[in-house]
Amino acid sequence: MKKGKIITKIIAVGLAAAFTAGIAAGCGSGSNNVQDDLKFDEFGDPVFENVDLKVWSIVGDPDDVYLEKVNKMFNDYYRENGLQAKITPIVNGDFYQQVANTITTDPRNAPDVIIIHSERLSGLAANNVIVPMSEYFEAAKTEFDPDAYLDNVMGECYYQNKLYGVPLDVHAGVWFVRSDILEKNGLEKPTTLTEFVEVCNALVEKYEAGTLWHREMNKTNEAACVWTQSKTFGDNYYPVVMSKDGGIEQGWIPQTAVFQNGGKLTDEKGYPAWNTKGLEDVMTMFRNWQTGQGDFKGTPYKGAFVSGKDDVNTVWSKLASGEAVFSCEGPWWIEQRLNEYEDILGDLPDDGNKTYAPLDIMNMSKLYALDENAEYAGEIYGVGHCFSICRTVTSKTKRVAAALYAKFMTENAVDYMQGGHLPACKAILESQQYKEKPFYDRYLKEFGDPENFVMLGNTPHYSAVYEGLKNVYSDIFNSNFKDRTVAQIIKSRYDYAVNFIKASEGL
Amino acid sequence: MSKVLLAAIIVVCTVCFAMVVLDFVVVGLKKRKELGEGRVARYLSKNLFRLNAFVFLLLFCIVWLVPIVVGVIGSFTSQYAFENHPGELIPSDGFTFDNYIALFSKYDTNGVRLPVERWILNSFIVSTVTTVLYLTIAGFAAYAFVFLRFRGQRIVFYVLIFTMVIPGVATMTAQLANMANLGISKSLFALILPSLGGVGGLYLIRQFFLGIPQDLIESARIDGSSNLRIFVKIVLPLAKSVFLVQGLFCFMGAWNDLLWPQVILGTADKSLWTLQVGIAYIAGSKTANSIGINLASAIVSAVPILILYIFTQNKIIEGVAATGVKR
Amino acid sequence: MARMTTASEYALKRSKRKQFFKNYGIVLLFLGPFIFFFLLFCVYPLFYGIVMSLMRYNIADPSKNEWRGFSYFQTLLSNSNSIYNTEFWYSMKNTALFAVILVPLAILVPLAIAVLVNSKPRGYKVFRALIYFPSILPVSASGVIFISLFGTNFGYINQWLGQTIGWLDQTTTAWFVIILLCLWGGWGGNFIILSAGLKNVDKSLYEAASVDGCTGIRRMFAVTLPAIKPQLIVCLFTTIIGYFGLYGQVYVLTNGGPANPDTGVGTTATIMWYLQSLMNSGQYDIYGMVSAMGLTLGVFIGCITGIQLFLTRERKSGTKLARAFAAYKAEKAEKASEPVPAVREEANGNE
Repeated sequence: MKKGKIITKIIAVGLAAAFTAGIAAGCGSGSNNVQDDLKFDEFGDPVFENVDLKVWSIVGDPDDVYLEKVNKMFNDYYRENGLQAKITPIVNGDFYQQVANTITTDPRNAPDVIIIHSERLSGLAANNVIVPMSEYFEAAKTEFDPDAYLDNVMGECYYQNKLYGVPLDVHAGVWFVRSDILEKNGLEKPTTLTEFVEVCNALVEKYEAGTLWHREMNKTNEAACVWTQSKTFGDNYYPVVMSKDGGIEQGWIPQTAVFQNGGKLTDEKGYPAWNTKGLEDVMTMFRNWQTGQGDFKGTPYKGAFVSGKDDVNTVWSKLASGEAVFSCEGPWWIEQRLNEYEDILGDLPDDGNKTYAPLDIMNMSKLYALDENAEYAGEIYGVGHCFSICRTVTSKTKRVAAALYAKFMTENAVDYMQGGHLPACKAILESQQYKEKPFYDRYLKEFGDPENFVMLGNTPHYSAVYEGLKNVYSDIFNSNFKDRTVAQIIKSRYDYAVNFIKASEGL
Repeated sequence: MSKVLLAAIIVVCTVCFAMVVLDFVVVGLKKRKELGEGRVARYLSKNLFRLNAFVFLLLFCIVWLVPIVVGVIGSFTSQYAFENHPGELIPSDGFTFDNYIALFSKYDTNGVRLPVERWILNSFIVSTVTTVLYLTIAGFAAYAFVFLRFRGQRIVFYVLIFTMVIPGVATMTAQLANMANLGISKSLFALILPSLGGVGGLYLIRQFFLGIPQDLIESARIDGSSNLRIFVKIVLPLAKSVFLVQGLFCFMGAWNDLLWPQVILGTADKSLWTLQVGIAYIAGSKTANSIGINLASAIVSAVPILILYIFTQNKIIEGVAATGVKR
Repeated sequence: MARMTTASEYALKRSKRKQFFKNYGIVLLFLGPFIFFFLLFCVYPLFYGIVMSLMRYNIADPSKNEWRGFSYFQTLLSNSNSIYNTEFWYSMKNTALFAVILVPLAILVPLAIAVLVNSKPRGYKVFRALIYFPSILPVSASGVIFISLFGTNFGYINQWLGQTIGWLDQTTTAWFVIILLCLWGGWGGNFIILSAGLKNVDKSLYEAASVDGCTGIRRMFAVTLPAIKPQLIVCLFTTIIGYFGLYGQVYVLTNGGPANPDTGVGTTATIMWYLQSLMNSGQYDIYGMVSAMGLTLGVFIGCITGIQLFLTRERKSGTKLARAFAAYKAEKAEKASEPVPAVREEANGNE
């Protein structure tokens, strides 16, 4: 009997211990005490002794190389002062999850500074992952002037009127254009929605008539790169690639469409506000582009522009084959793709011994504005990157160092822009050094005026707002949704987003 | 429809049909006792089922291996061929090593080559240590459950079984905190230790132990053997096969695991990564977004375990076959 | 007051202690290490999970944690206005459907193949190795291969068929591909376990059966299946649990899609996929709810396996086995011609 009791006791004690430990761990507090260990030298500058900043960055391959260049500048500049920074790019999709997890469960291995998307800042600040920065600029006796940065991206760096981040850049998805095909066929790069539709109509019409000039970008077979007018692409010709699961278009196009027709993505409460008439009209237009039915401002479409079966793999392949003239992708691809096309097609003349620039980019300004003269028609949905300090930094010296790091990096980020971003710091935008860079002339200036970029707006409900709108776009291209009207799709996605937010608020 | 596919379907159907006809003929003749006495006839009457099994398994294996063959071929196909001539098993621009070269010549932002060999080593360390430790610990525990008597035995066992049904995802956050509290969150121990408490393998081993007659153990006890001796000298040889099977499962589980190493190791220190994490990192980067590279990464992550399998599969499966029967 | 201990009492105590260690020392030695790791890495997280399910647990900032009592469970069980309730049960339903389709397939197909292999046709070792082979591949690898096979625009299958079927874009075909992947890369373990079981069925049982005129299908049901019952139970048990945890295949192939037009929820969302998608939604205070869902799921699976264990009650006690063994021996001695639905271990004792 007794032995049995002992075993039972052991089990009971063990379970009780586990339970208490569970509770203790569950109620542990995330203390926010900052140790004031800041010292100054005789000139009143803060002293750093072997301060190493751990930086986690959402900026991944391929543009992380350019960010590293700037980081090296920082390390060279501050080496004497004993201040160094090491950037770790984190390409996993769960960056924000990992940051939160590590900060709470494993502070010793947590980052000191994080480079994040500025639209995620509110959510991180609301959950105390990052800390307000102003006081550390003051402590460093460095002035931080918000007016030195673009208003739009700076606006996303505030949460409850406190500064939580320093903006690095703004960027947006772009259209890649086969400019050689346009030029050879006597067409011009469109700048408005009307022109875009006209160009597509012309392309479709020419193809049907068998008079469309096109050529392939073929790495291995130069013979395939000659100009031809044959109907290589079968009965159906689609000049535009719009894929439902690429993740790129759905992340930029519907958002831009909302802005260019006078809507907003979020309201003051941080709830989604994209269920506008403008979005509905543009999405209806996209549906018509798949079927070729209907008309644009009274002019009937000459045929379908979009196949409706494109996926992430066709974005580049159709552009290369010469079928598609327009294809949407992220800005980080620009340099690589321009090089590729120019290497192969740049010097290849046609019969008249004329060469064409094979690839160009085009920003989304006015491309989804149904009223091209409206003041908001030129707006583009943009995303910024910014620097923030994690709450796990308990030394004041380190926080000051992190603030200085953020300021230095954003003010000296000229080289980083090669990866396809526009600087958020006005001084860089106006600097000669920036404008003299070859990549500025080659593609950055095509991005348009960074003042035209509009951000998501501060919302702690980022994923519900953003994912909901992305889903509207992919539903439009999804055959499962064929019998739903656009209005129904928008309403159901909007209701879902609102329900999601309400449910999470009621947790 | 491509001609190759059509031909393949026709061949498969013909073979199946011929086999069925043969079966009917042989069975019919046998019933009427008209089957001759020749060598072929005798062979057929004795081995009809085996012949059927052979033909069926042959066809089955050919179909079964199609994805593997496609995967290997695809990994040697350029992205260009995928986009412009999809569906060709022999790409028009020839086979290429580009995908593999791209996988193994990746550099990080500081210009340091990614330590692929280090990842392979890590994966081996984690998988081997996990397997050996788990088999030892779970083997002894299973022995205790089957051949020892103690109070609360059944209750403890049912508690174990019950925890098996709690999904790992639900306890992942707790496990993370656990690792950090133990101070091993950024070491390979974090990959090895948690799997040592797993119940699945214990259950399998116990289930096989139940098949060992208690008489055997009892008589050994009467002979004065200690439990340790019984375990080593009697139980272990008898249950060799289940240890091999569970060892293989364990090794593969540790080798193939992606989610947990990704979460616990993070991306900060690349020299700690396992092969799976590294491969996912390379194949997931934006500049490597192509079918060929993804397939190449799949093949690379499978090759070490494939080699192990080739060398041990005979032992493992023979071991399985010998389970429990020791004459 | 200190109690005096007489020598005899001391000796008694000492011998008791000795007895205890003699009886339980070995148990502790054998079971201890496992229980230690089990408590540390299974029980502790489980209790932690239970605690989490009772609070609004914020992984980003524990100081924001608030007790919620059993309200999450209440939401899950009765509040059908909450999307957590509706989506949880929707993905549960999906998972159950998957399991209903997959569990029989994942046991019967390997069993059939194992029977074929067990007849030892020419080259059966090679067949065995080849059939098991896909199971050693990581899900991520076999998933990539399947995507290259079933892709819409460049997939090999579509090219061979000359079609552009969106395999992963439509609910039925997406399910088909997932099930195919589960079978292709998933039942090798069952195959190995079952063929091991078949291999060890006592040949004398077959001989006795054929003397009795019991062959073919009848022999299968009367002799083979009962003989491999322990293996079948292991397979059934692990397969059910395995497929309720179905996640990797869905994640790799469809990531939960395609969406249901009415609700917008993914039609291939399994419960595990749903849990991880909640955790990765960037919402830091969802973890209490996720834990509550995980526990509800656990209880659910617990019930299923409980029922299943009850239905396939096995002989637990060693003495019973020994008795069965003795009975079998005795029966054999009498040369009884009727085959006993024997458990596997009886094969060991006939020498």
